Amino acid sequence: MSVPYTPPDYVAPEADLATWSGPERRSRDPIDQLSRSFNRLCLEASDRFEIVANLEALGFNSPSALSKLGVSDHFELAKDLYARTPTTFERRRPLAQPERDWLGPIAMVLALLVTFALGAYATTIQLAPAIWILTWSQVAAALLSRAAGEIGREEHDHVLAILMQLGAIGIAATWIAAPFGLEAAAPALLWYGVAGLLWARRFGFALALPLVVGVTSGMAAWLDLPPELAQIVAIAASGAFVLPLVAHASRPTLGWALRRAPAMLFPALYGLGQGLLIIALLRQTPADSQVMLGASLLALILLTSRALLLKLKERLTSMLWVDTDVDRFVTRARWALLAYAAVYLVPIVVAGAARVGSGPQPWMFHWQGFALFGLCLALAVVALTLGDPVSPAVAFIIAGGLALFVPFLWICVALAATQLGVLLLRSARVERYAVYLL
Amino acid sequence: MRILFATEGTYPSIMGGVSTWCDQLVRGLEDQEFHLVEVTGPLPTQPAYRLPRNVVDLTSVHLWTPRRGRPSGRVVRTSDRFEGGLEALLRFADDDLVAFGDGLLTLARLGAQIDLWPWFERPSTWRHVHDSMERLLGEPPPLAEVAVGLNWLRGTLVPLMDVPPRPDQAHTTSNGLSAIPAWIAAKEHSIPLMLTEHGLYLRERYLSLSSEDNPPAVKLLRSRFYRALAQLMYAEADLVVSVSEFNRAWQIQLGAPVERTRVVYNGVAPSAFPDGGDTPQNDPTVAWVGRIDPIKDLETLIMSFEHVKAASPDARLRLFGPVPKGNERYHAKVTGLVRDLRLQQNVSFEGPVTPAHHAYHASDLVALSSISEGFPYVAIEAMMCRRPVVATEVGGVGEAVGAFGRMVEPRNPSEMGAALAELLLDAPLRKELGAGARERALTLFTLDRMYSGYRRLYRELASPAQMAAAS
Repeated sequence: MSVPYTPPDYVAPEADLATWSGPERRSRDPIDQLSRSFNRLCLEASDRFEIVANLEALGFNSPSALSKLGVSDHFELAKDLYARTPTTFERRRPLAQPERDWLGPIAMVLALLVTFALGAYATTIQLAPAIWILTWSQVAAALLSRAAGEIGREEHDHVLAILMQLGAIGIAATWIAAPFGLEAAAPALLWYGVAGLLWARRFGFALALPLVVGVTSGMAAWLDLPPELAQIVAIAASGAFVLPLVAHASRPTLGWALRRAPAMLFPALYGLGQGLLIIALLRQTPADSQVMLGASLLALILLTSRALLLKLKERLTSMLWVDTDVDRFVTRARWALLAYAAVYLVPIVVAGAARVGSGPQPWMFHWQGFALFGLCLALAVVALTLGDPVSPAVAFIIAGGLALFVPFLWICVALAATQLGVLLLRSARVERYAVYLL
Repeated sequence: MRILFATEGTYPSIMGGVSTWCDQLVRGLEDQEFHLVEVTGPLPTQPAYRLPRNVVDLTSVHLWTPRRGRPSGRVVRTSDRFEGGLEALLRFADDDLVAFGDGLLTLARLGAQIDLWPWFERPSTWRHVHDSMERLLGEPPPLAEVAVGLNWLRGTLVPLMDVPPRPDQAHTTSNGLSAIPAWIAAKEHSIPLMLTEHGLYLRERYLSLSSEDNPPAVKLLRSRFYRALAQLMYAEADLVVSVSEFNRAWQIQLGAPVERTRVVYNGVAPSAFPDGGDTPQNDPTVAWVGRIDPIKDLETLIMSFEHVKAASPDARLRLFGPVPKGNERYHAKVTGLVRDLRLQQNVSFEGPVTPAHHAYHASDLVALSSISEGFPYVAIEAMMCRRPVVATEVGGVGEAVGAFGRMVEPRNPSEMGAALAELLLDAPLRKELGAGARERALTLFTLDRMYSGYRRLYRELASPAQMAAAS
């Protein structure tokens, strides 16, 4: 049984060779025929040696194969093929992978709402575990992101185990330093659990945990049961769900994680800054304010922010693949950044319009506070996406510190403006961030 | 003699054919002192081989990793040196090998003092890379391509930019990135440089660049860089060694002076591949040994067995070897072919076998159907076990087999089938070829012969003073 030779990447021509009247297609010269079967290779070869390498890989290097083509040497054959075919490159832009993970954001938003419904944040002691969890989650996200690029997939569970153990130790240490009650432990552990389950890609559990706690909390309110019931359920369920993650062996990647520890400084500062800002927001809460509406807005912002960030990233990437002029790209990139930031201003404008129309309302403080906080987070993730962990860390930690003394809304306006300014300035340094977008 | 011995992606971290060769050489030349420089991926790995005592130190160069602990050196004079070095290096885009070499050396000297990683984030570096890509492409490249090219240059070059301590000789085991530290040591300390190639690094880079979806300007940047590097090393190495005449042709085509090229064949230990005798198997049996991979063209071999079966219905084809990760679909394809051709009674997949000589001893002759080979160990191992080889005439296979087997056209099942049937049915001829094959292997392809070959080459390169010190 004899099989006619066909190169693996051969693409049949659209024209019917039998009826084609073009001069090249008509040629029965064996090298022309070979050139046609190597169509893409010959068109895109960077030099004749690339054709030699591919000829060899396909067996066109033996004297018998070459004699059929009337040549004695495949280097000469490649030279001939290269000379006969004009080099033209087809640009095949890598396609963006569609985002399929929708369970993760839903679990996060649900956890956020349940956290606000479940906890109490009147005192600094009650907020201590929340600050730790925010700091820890930034460090964990950064370390896991490094692990994805640096170590094998099978070792990621060890890294996650290190982080879960670190998270648990941190919560315990925070409690020893400032003993808090169930009302602070429950939301902290809920966040800890949901974050860990999401990183472990156990989306079902991550969704189930806030659902169980939320339903218990609702039932307790409806049946007039003590609120501690939902808090106990939150603590017990979180502990049970994350136990396998915490108990996993962590030693194999401990050395790697310790070597990466210095790089975790900026994520830690960024997380700490977030925590301090949240403290400021909750401590400056006016007596008649309504936190849940603002919290719902933040949940909505978090739910849509990933899609908006991906859209911005896709826009910038598309421009990079098309633009050949840096100045033109920078101008377009700045407009794209401004449009991105403008979307987050919509709820603030809505609140402003409502204030003009009907005067100050109890929901406005948290609505505006969380909207501004969401804008700051949205700008920070752009900076992180562009490979800049320093600016958000420095800006957030300074803002967090100042927010203990200065009204929260002012601080957030200054933080958002500063971050946007830095982003607009940094957008000119294409050489620094372009590669992070690709 | 102190030998800087440079490897890339092989010895001592990764198991494989070239690593085995390196291990054999280092252990075999126990009177030499080896200083290993291993160019490897970004992650620290545990050595896969236990290093012998004559390996004095091991330096791992991790690509894509900044070299921490050095100042970033942001001073005016450094800036001039960096700019000058980079501009010269990028002249490879114009095929200017002299400037390319000067640039490499300048950046290596600078890299020995400061961390060059952040220097690749400067606007002027972007401009230089942009301009060289524009020259290669003939039109301005999109910014994304410049970013990818710049990042590739940084990740590849910066970790290698250093000046190794002074050895007596430098020896690189590939003409790729591992050649850079060896060449820098040779230039900086005025010592001889030897270059050994097993496969051809440049050929492998071309093949991967052809199959990857690189944007045009990036592909041109990378392929020209590798070509310039290969040409520079061929031109400047004091000895260019290959494992077959076939590969030597590439080296000469790319500028290696003929008088500086040598061929030292790979060798195997006769004790590891003992004489398998010439008693026929119960059923006439052909063995194939290797990894299940498209480049081995098992389809041709299986289809050839239709011809063999017609001539000898009891004939068996035993395929020994693993299915590497990623080749499962190919494995399914060839097992499907066996089914389609109704050869289940004749063809069997045996998996890997240890020790390897069991596979050869369980056969009457050995087949090799690859469409591309360098100088395959399978051929010389089979010959050492007194088995004639029927092989496709690719790469250095013909040099290995000589007159003691049959060479056939690649991708030609009928020709291969005819050759297999001829030898399976003709026991006296098979016996004669097997005896000749073993004799040839014992004469040309032993480890001792390889060791003495390299001892001679190291001596050839050594200065009289080094020789006196060594003796």
